[in-house]
Amino acid sequence: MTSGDVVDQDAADLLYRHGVGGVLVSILASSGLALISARQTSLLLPCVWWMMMTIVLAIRSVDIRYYRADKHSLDSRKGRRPIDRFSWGIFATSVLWAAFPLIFLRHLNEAGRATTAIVLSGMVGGGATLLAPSQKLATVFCASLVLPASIAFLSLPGFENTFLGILGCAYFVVMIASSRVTHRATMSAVRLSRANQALVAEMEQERERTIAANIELKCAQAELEQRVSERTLELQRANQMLSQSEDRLHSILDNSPTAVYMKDLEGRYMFANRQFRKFFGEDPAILGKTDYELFSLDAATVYRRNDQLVIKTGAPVETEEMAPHPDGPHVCISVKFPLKAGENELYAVCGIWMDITDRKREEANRLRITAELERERARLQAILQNIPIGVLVTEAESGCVLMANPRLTRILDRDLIPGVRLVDACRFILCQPDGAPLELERHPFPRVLTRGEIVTGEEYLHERANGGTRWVRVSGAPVLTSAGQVSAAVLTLEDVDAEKRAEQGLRRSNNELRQFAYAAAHDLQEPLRNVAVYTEFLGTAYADRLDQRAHQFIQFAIEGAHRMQNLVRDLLAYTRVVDDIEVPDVPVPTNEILQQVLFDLKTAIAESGAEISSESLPNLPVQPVHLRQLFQNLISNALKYRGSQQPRVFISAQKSIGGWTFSVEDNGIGIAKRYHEQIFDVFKRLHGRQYEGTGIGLALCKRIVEHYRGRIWVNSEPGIGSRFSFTLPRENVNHVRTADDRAYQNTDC
Amino acid sequence: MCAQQTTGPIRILIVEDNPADVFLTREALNGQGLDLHIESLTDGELALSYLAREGEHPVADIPDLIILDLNVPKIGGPELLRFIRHTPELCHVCVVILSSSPHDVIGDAAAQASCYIQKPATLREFLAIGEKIIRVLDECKAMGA
Repeated sequence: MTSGDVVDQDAADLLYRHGVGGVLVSILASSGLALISARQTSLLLPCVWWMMMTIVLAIRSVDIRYYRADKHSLDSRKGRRPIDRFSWGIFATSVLWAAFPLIFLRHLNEAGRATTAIVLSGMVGGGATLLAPSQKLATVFCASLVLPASIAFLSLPGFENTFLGILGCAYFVVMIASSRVTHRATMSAVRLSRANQALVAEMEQERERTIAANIELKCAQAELEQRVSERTLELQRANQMLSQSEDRLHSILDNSPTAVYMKDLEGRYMFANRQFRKFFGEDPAILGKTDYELFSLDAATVYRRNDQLVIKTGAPVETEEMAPHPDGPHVCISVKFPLKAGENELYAVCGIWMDITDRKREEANRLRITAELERERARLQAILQNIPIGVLVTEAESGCVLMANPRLTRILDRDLIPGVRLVDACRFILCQPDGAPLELERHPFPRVLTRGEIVTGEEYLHERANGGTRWVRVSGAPVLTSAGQVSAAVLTLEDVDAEKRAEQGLRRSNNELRQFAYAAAHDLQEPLRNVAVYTEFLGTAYADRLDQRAHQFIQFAIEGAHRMQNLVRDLLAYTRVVDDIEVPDVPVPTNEILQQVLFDLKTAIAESGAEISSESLPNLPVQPVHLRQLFQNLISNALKYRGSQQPRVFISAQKSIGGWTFSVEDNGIGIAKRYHEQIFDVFKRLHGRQYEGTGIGLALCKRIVEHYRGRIWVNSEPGIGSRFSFTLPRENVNHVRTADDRAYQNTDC
Repeated sequence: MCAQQTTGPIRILIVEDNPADVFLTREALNGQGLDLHIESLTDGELALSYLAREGEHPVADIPDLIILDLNVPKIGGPELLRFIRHTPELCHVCVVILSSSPHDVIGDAAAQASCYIQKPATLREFLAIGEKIIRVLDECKAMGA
C-alpha cells in the first residue's frame, strides 16, 4: 500500500463530508434542468460517454470498495463502515442509472433525452466528485461531464437551453471553485491527517516499543523468576547437603571411640557425643549444664581451668585429665581447642577425651612383667654362671650359638662366643669313645638342633686343646615353638671324666677278677678231680692191703676233694651269671622251669618227704638257666634246712611294679633276723657240717636277681619258717642295659 | 673215602695231655673186655701229624675212634676236630669229646663231635664212661654202614 493510496482514501473521506451538498445540488439542478429542457433529442454521444463513464465508475467504486475493505480489515478501529455502505449505494445507483437511459431512451423525446442526460450527467458528476479517488480526478470528472453538457445546452436554441448552458457553466465554475477550496481543505486535512498519521505511527511505534519493552520486561521477569527458583533450588540442595553432612558428622562423632564435647564460654555443655555420655552411666542430661553440676568440685575446677586456658590463649591445649566413670576414675588424654565463628570471635570450647586407662593399666602390667622377667633372668643368669654343667643355647634358624656359660668354656677349653655357627664348631668338640671322629649325623648337637631329637646322657670323648681327652656327658633338648618347630636347642655338657675313668678302671678290674675267678675255678676242677678220683682209686685198688684207718683217711680226702669240687662248681656258676646275658625276647614259661627243677630235685624231695605246691607262674623274659638256678637253690635250701616236721614248700608269684615278685615259702628252721642280710653274701654260712653247702647258693641267687635289676630278700622267723622273695622285670633287661654294656665294651677296646 | 677197618682190634686214639685222665680212660675202655688198640698223644700238634701221617707217624692207621680233650696244648681240640671233619679220609671217624668243662661252656665247639662227655668227678662214674664210648662207636659204625 503506497502513501498515495492512503492520501486518496483520506481525500475521499473529505469529499464524502464536503461533497454531500454538491451531490444534492447537482441532483436538484439537473432534475430541474431536465424538466425544463426535455425537448432536446440529440444527446446520444453524451449519453454513450456517460454510460461508459458509469461502467468505469462502477468498476472504480468496486475497486474503492475493495480498497476500503482492505483498509478496514487492516484497521477496524477507525470505523469506516458508513463509507463502505455508501460505496455500495453509489454502485447500485450507478448501475440503475446506467440502465435507466437504456430503458427509457426510445420513449423519450429529444428534450426528455436531453433532460435525462443532463440529470444523469449531473448526478454522475456529483457522484463522480464524491467517488473520485482524488480531488483532481473529481474536478476532471466535473469538467468533463458538466462542461460538455453546458456547451451542448448553449448550442441549443431556446432560452431555456441557454439558461441551462449558463447554469451548467456556473456550476462548473462553482465546482472548480469549490474544488479548489476543497483542495485546500483537503490539503490541510491531508497534512493534518499526515500529522495525525505520523502521530499515530509514532504512537504505534511507541505502543510497539511499549509492547516490546513490555515483552522484554516480561522476559526479564521470567528470567528473574527462573533464576530465583534455580537459586532457591540450589539453596535447598545446599541446605540438604549441609544437613546430610551435619548428620554424618553427628553420626561419626557419636560413634567415635573418643569422647567429644562442646562447651560455651560459660562452660555449659552444648554438645556431647555418646562416648562422653558413657562417662555418666545411663542416658544422663548433660546439655546446658556445667562441669560443676556434673563432676566433683576438684575435677570441675581442673576442667574449667583448662577451658579458660583455651579461651584465654585461643590455642589448643593438650593435658591428661582424670574422668569419673561408673567403674572408677579413668585416665584420659584431653585435647581442648577453641571454636571460632569469624576470625577472632571465639564462641565455644571443644574437647576430646581419649580414654587411656586400659593402656595405662597395660603399661603398668608390662612394666611389672618386665621387672619380673628381669629378676627371673638375673636368677637364671646366676644359675647358668655357677652351675657345674656346661650349657649351650643355639638358635635353630641361623644355627649360631646364642649363649654359652663359663662352665662350658672350661669344659671345652674354648670360648664358644655367640654368633659362632654350631655346625662349624661341633665337629671339633666331640669324638667317639674310641677316638674316631663323630659323623655329623650322629653328633648330638645337630641331632637336637635340626632334627629336634632329645638326647639324654650320651657320653663322648672331647679332644682337649692340649691333645688329651676328656669324657663328657651330653644331654640336649629342642625348644619348640607353638607350631612344634625347633626354634632353639639347649645342650648341656657335664665333665664326667673322673667318674668315667674310675668306672672304667672298676669295670676293667672287675672283669679281670671275673676272668680270673672263672679260670681259677675251671683250672681247679681238674686237679681236684684227679685227687678225688685217684684217692678213691687208691682205696679200691689196694683195698686188701689197707687197714681200717687208711680207708677212713682216704674217705676224708675224697670228701674234702668233693666239697672243694662243689665249691669250685658253685663259684664257676657264680662268676658265669653275667656272661649269660642273652635273654630271649620271647618270655619263657617260668612254670615249666619250676617243674624241671622239681624233677631234678625229685630224689631230695622224696628223701625229705616234702610237700611242694605252687601257683601258676607267669611268662617272663629271663634266661632259663638263671631261673632254674634260683628255684633250685631256694627249693633245695628249703628242703635242706627243714625242721622236725614234714617240710612244706609253697612257690608263688605276684604282680608288682614293673614285673613280678616270686616267693618260695617253707616251714623250716628259719633264720634269725640279724642274718637276713648276711646270708646273701658269698661263703657266708650259718651252719656247720650238719648242713652241706658251699655258702654260694644265695649269693648266686642275689647275683642273678640283681643282674635282672631285681631284688631278693627274706622274711623269716627261727622255728617257724622262711619266705624268700625276689623280683623279676616284665621287660627284657637286655634293652635297658644295652647302652651301658656298649660303653663298657667300647672302653675295653 | 674213609678207610673202614672191619677186622682186627678196634683202633682208638686218645688226645689228652693229662696222663691221669689217659690212664683212667684206658682203664675204663679196657674194662669193656674188647680187643682194643689204644694210642694216646699229649698235644694237638702230635695228633695232627699222626692223623696226617707225617713226622713220626708216616704209616699210622686211621683210628676207629678218637677221644678228644678240648683243652690240649699247641693245637686245640676244636681246631683238631675241624681238621678231622674236613679231611675226606677222616671225616667219618667217630669222635668223642671228653672235657672237664660243662657242656654249656663248650658251646659250638662240640657240635661236630659224635658225642660229648664231661669228665666225671667220681671213680665209679669215670669207669662207667667206657661203656658209653663203646656204645657211641657202635652207633657210628651203624650209621657209616
